[in-house]
Amino acid sequence: MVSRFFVPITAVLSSLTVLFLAASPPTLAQDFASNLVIESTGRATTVTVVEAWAGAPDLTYALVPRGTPVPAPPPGATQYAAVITTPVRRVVSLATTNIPHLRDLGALSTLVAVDTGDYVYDSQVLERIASGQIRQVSSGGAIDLERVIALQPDVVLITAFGPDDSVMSRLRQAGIPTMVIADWREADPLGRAEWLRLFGALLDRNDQAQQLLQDRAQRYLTLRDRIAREVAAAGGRRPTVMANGPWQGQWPVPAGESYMARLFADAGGRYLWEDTTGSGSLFLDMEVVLARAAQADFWINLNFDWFTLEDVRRADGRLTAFAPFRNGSMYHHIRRVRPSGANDFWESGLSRPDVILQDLAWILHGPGVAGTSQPTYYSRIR
Amino acid sequence: MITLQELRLGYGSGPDVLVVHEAMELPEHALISLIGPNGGGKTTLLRCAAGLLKPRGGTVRLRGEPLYGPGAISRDRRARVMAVVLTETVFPAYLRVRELVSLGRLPYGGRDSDAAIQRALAYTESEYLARRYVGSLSDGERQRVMVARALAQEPEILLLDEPTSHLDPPHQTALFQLLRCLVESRVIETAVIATHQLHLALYFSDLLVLVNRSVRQGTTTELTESGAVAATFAPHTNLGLDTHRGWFVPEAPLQS
Amino acid sequence: MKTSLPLRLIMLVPVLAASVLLALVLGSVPLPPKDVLVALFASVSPGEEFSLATVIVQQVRLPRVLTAAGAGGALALAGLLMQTVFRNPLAGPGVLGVNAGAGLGVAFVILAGVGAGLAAPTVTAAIAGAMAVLVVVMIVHQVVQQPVVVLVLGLLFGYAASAITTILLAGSAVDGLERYVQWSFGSFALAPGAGPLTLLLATLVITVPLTVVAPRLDALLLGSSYAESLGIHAQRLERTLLLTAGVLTGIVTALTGPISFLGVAVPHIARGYLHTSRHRLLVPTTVLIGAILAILADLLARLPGSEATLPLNAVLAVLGVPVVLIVVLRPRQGGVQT
Repeated sequence: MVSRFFVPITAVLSSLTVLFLAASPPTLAQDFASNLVIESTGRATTVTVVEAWAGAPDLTYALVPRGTPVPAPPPGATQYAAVITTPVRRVVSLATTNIPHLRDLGALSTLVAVDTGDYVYDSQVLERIASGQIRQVSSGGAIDLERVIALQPDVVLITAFGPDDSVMSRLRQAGIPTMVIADWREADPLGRAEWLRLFGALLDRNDQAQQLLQDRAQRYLTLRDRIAREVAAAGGRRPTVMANGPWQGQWPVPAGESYMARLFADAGGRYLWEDTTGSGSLFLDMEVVLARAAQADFWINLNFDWFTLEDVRRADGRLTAFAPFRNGSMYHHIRRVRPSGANDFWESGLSRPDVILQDLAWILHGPGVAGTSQPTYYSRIR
Repeated sequence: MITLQELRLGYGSGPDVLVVHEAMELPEHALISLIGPNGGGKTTLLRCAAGLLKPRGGTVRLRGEPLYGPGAISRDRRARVMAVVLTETVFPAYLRVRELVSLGRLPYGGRDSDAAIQRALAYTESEYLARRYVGSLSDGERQRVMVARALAQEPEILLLDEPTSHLDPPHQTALFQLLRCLVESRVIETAVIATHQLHLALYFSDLLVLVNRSVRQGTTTELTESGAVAATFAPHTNLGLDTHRGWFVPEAPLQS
Repeated sequence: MKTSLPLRLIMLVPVLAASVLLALVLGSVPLPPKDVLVALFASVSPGEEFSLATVIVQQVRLPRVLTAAGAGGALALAGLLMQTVFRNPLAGPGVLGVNAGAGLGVAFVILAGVGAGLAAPTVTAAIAGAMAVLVVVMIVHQVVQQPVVVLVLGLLFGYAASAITTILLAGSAVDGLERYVQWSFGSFALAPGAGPLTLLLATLVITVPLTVVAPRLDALLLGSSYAESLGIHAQRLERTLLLTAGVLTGIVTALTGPISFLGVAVPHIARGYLHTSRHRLLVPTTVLIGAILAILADLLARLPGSEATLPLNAVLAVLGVPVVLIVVLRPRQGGVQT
């Protein structure tokens, strides 16, 4: 009896709350992320993942504390993409980028499974995989649904590329809550780092997440401003930067509005394709790259299998024509890698744009400006 | 039995292969050979008469009923009157002779199959082959079995396209003999054979149809004695037809 | 001892049942066979709590087995029809270029981002691509009336589709690439929603009328002229069979990815098993063997007892090639034929 009345009452209340919220700023400020919206209404929180893939509808998730009823869906949505009971105790993560968030919030013990340990850098996670505390639910590139279901997770963090993502739909049928993580869609480095906030909400550690995030943003912005001042003091000259390497006949470079392009710019570099639009990659011919970048000051980010200058020469003799090759100013994020191919740049690095920016400052302007004697992720290629 | 009128035959968008201005008839109680040079249109004419090639112009009638066009005889009925032995030699991996012959019963929806199949095998003296796979037969055996398959349709007319081309001489003769027998014993009313075996055609046929882009029809004696047979094949060479043996020989004696 | 042919067909039914049971009982999560059987027949009403075994059996293993059975049967049947129509032992579901068309459709969605707003873009695009190719093939077949031209055309479609797919791959981001490669591996595990059951029913619904018209298919083996002379409208029959095979292949490719090897191999295995080319028994036998092989290959791909899985297409090929070789090379009459 009670619940029969309770549901409509909460529905009315929550719609009133929404009306009220429309007039006042949400309780958790959103600063940089464009694909993530977190709203707290009373005890329940809704998380909306925007444009999880190109043309995706808003995916709205209800994060409901254990033992409280599920609030009515937001206006406009007929139902939640999933209802997740918080704080989550059993998490399955199908992407390595979720690991640093869980670790930084001290919640690695909630991680019960990853897709595969092959690309994991984090040593604690690797130990837990070895000891069987964390299971691997994918092999041969495919997710084994029955192993996921058997783990009875509170949430499975997936990467979906379309509404018919089969892992998502099959897990939903099996009654397992999934959540689409679309951090990779963020072109803003701080925006991507901000997905930590989602894990704060999932783990009920909002304040801790907020604190970490604020520190990182602060460090990033302070360093960016300091670099800008240094560049201005040096007469405004910014060193030129080229990126990546030829791959199967094409040379993909980050477009002018992409994640790496923004980092290069904030690090006071003149990225040679900063005038292009788009947040993805441009696929260029080597001639075009030569024409624009033969005299570049720095060459940052290389092919995954280049560790020495000799590797570069062997890949294509023509690459020695680029000035950074001859001047020894080629840098790659290979300081933290494992023989399996795991690279911490793609793991913790994505949650620490402040550290990447520091590395880039170290490369482009030296230890003084960077404020560190050693980069974290990058090494010079010899 | 079959009457053909003012035919114009060809394939696809190609030129006419054969044009027949007059009316011609393939009568009952006869073994009829279609004779003529390569590319003259024997196969084309045979396929048209069999209901397998729609003419560009003209009409083909089976006992007065049109084979093509509006009011044409139904496919099933046509298949119960006419059967063919063609040059195609694609054979399935696992098909036994009896099964192949039983395909001839399709136009009857499988009615009275066993008796008809048995008779067809008996006429062609191939009962002993019944359980063999078609792929294991010799060329001679296979051709007999293909005739048996056609006979299982209990047709009135049997049309054969170069049935002897892969056979050795005794088997060639034996096949013509079989067809002659079938006509004489009234198992079939008419046999129409497109063939290059001029000697066998002259020996066994009641009627000849000379096919070389046009058509001329007559009895064997008529056409050989008038020189029409020789003219169909070799109008401008120094070869002459030995009308008794059915061979072309040089007109000048051989130098020894 | 000689067993009669219908008996040989019937003997496959318990084998299929055993394969299905095996595939339901064996999985990466160990479940006692008794629990599996209970779970299989447990009725689940919405909102009710149910056991882990029930979820795994009903939501994971059963759809997977149904998909494998349906896809295996459908592809084998499509392959048989193609071999019959083209009288070519190497013909298979792929010869019309239908799965290349499906692959191209998927490539457009995954790599070029076309139609990302659709409810089920991958399946929709695969079906659209497959049907587009099929329509063109049918029109060409209508115009030229020669099976061999259709065969060449299908081959060309295949090349063209792969070429365009490669172009799309060359300019695509890593995530799209990975997704496409994943799709091209093929899988029975992820057919969405009502897909598995639809596939199985479609296969069964098509098998029955084909068994009825089986003698006409036998006649087609002699060539279309012989078929015509037997009163069959050969071109119409060929067209119907091409369309049937194309639709089956399109649906399967859309739901499971390109798994076409099965379609070439199984008809040969079925002929070798029955020692007949007659379709009345060959059609159902091909469907059954296709279903059994697909279920077993899928089981092998999952390597029960280990946590590793292999790409299904690789397993099918590794499993299928020796079987076909044994069947084809075994001394018998007639060589490799349809």
